Amino acid sequence: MYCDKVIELLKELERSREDTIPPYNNDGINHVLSEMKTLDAEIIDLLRTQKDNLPLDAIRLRRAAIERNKRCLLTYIWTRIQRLKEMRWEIGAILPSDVRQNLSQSEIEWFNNYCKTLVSYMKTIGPDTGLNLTQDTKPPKSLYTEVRSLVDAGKLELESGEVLILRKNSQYMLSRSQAEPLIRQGVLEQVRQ
Amino acid sequence: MYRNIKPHYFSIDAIMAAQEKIQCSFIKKVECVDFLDSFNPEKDDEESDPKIELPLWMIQVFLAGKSIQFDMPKAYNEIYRDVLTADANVVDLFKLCKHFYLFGKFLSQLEHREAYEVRRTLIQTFIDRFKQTMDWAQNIDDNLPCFNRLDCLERLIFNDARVAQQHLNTYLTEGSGQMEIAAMILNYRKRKMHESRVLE
Amino acid sequence: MFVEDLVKGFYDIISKNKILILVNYDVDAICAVKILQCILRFDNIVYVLVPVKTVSELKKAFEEQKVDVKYVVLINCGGTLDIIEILEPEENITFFVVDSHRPTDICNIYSSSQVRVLTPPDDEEKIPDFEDIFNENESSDEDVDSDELDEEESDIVNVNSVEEQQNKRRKLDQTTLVKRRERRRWEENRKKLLFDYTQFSYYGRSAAMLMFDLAWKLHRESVDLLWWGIVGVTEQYILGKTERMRYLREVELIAGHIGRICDSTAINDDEDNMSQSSMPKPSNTSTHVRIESEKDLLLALYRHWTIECSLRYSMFTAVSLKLWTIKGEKRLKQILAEMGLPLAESRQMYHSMDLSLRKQFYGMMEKISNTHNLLQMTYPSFMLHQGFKTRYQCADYVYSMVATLETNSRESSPTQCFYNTMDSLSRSKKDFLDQGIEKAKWILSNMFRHVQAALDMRQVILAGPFYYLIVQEGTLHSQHYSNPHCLIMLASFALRAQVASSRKIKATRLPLIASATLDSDQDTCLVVGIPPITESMPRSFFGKAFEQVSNKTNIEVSLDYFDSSIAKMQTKDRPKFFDALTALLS
Repeated sequence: MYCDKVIELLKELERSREDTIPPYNNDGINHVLSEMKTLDAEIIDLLRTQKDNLPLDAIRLRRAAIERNKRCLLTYIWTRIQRLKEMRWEIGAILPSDVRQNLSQSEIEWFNNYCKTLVSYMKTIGPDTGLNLTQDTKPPKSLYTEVRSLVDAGKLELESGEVLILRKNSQYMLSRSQAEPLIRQGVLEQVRQ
Repeated sequence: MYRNIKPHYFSIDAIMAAQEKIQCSFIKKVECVDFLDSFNPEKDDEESDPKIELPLWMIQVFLAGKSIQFDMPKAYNEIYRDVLTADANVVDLFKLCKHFYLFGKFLSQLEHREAYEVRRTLIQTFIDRFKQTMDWAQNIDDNLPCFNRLDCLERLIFNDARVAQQHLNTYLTEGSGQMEIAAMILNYRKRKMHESRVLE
Repeated sequence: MFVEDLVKGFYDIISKNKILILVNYDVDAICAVKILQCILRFDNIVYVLVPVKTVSELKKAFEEQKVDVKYVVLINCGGTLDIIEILEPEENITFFVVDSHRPTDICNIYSSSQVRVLTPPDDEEKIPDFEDIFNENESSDEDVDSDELDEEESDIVNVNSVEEQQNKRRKLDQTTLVKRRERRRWEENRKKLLFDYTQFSYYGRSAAMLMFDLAWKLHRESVDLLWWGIVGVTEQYILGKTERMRYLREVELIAGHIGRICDSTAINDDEDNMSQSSMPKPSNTSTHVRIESEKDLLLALYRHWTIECSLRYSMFTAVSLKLWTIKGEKRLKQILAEMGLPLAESRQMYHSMDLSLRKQFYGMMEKISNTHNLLQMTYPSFMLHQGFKTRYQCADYVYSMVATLETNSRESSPTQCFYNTMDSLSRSKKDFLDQGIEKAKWILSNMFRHVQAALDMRQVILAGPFYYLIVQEGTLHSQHYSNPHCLIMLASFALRAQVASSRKIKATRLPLIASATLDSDQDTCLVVGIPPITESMPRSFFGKAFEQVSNKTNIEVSLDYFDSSIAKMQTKDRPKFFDALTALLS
């Protein structure tokens, strides 16, 4: 049956969790593309051979199959890119290595471009140097917060130039803007009052 | 994240719903399609025509050329429609048809004598089941197995409602402003721990 | 040096840069650090907080974190140690010490500016004068003398002045002899003074109250801070670190604070009653947090437990009524009957008891205490009222925090327990507190059973000048006692029980040493010494004794804890250690 391979690609994507990106199935995509090419060749063949008694249904079916393949491929790529975008906002501009392994070259390029665009956009809005939209996702209550470190994270340079050494199970008082990305990455944990 | 329950070009659910198979039989002969050759009608006798199961999108193509006729699939026929009007909450929609509502919507857009009935039944089922879904989403914290009876659309609604309710509860007890680890990273870590435990 | 003004001498200095705070594993220290955190939060001062349990952890934490740090605050740790010698800091680092352990080390007191002690000295501490301990002039005189002697020896060629020289030498010899004798006398005096000063180890004022005073001077006080200060003070009383007189003095001061802080809510109430405007202001005083001072009973956790259990497992009542004997049980039932408390009611949780009985309970207990030799059952204490929730007594907080701090489960590391204990102080995390209360109930009941078994099997053994109790490794729930606080509580319980059950008069003057396994893998054990019960001030000489024993014999004893009467050693060395200790003390 037509379009079976492409449905398998989509099923693979559906099975994976919403916040992960499965490895880029290059073989599957190439297979689908070649199927589309075959279908197209068949249509042209039919048009050429049976000029007078066109089998309309067959041509329509192949055409629909090509369209469906195209739609499914585009959905595959689109869903992966949406998840990448989500990762940029959740994790930051640096992706963990095992996520990077699953991306294709063009996806990595897209991600870099997206980060650049986002940063240049954020520079233009807001006063002076721009507004960091990825910060303060929840309304802040105070300028400084108390945090506890969950892992040994090494040196952290504060805005005032002083250096803090993050060791496991010590408590620190940091400015919210500095603490927030680290909390989102899971390095620190905020102490609730 | 782009979220839209309505079917759009990129929606995986809509694509999968259109992939569902329907039983049909050919009225007119279809040529040059390899896998359908044996199913072409020999005589004009309709009852002895061989039936084949084809996905919805193919059927849409053939319907345009008026060469096919189809029966309502199992989930949408007389019997199940009666069951659903009697008590919709009991039916396991996931087992019956994974994309019940979407598929039913597409089906009802095709030309069939029962299309109107199907449409009506779909709407009524959704209304009947919605109250239970909403109740579950707002009041239960852990995963009870009864959620498996929901179909795709209901699951989407259910998960969104659950997340919203949890946010509301956190806001009411702790106030806002509490920064948390990104959900992605938390799940990533849980998965890594689970994997390492499995490897051991 | 001692800091006179907390605000100018301490707070204004630290509010400029980031500071490092090192805290001991101690309920009082946790309360103090919580108050300090609140104060620092107001001014957005960046700080780093590291909990430390032993001296080696202190050194390690300091080594790791000393980058870019100019001010270090030590809470309940390091007061009794020579900080500069142990930590070897650079010149520009200043240490502020808030320590309730006494005696404060001499080098810390007389340090020129690097170590500043925030607790003002009491008169009772009898700190030796500077001249008696440090004498810098003598060393230069010594050099001059030796130079003169050398010159003398090289001039012996001159025969004429041999006699003169002999005379001179004699005179010089005399002066040097006199100087040397004086120096020896001074050194002996110095040794004696130091020995007297460091002989006993005891506790001074609570660190938490000191922090609260700082908050008060900065006008940053609140009901929460006062409550934490109260918990710190109560901890000292309940765990036997201070005696009653000092506790009563602190209570008076606290009552003054309560009057000032919680007064505002009372005024609001009056205004509501007097105003007759059409807009009635909703009196929300009942939702405020309120502290009330009232007299309360020395029964542990009785509001969260059944009366019978509380009577049985609290140290005070158990010892006075000798509840581990059968006669004691009968006495307990008699007391309950006299109070008019039916047995079924006394076995119910306190908050589900009959309301009328609950109201009478305190009065009846007071009456009973006179008849049954239960004197000093009541003591002034404080209750926390918060809206319509359960009221908590400060002792409840103390027991709960000790239980949370010393849980030995495998999931939570000691630092996790430390943070859990700190969290249980904040009002939004009451479930930690409640869990702690449950654990404390369990620990107390186990302790009672353990003491009962110990007395039955005569495990409290008299060894000459002291009693000793060894908690064997396989005993049920013995893993609790590898934490110092639980072991100290067990030891004082056991000592009082032993004194109550033995008829010798000498027993009241004997101290007790308790020991339990610390780590069964490394085969180490913890040894704790507590002073005899007749001492008016709980002063323990075990710190010095342990040190001397470890010097004389070559047993490897690590006096790593900040409280010097706690020591750690190998289990196989323990019998030798006890023998040496017996020899030393007799």
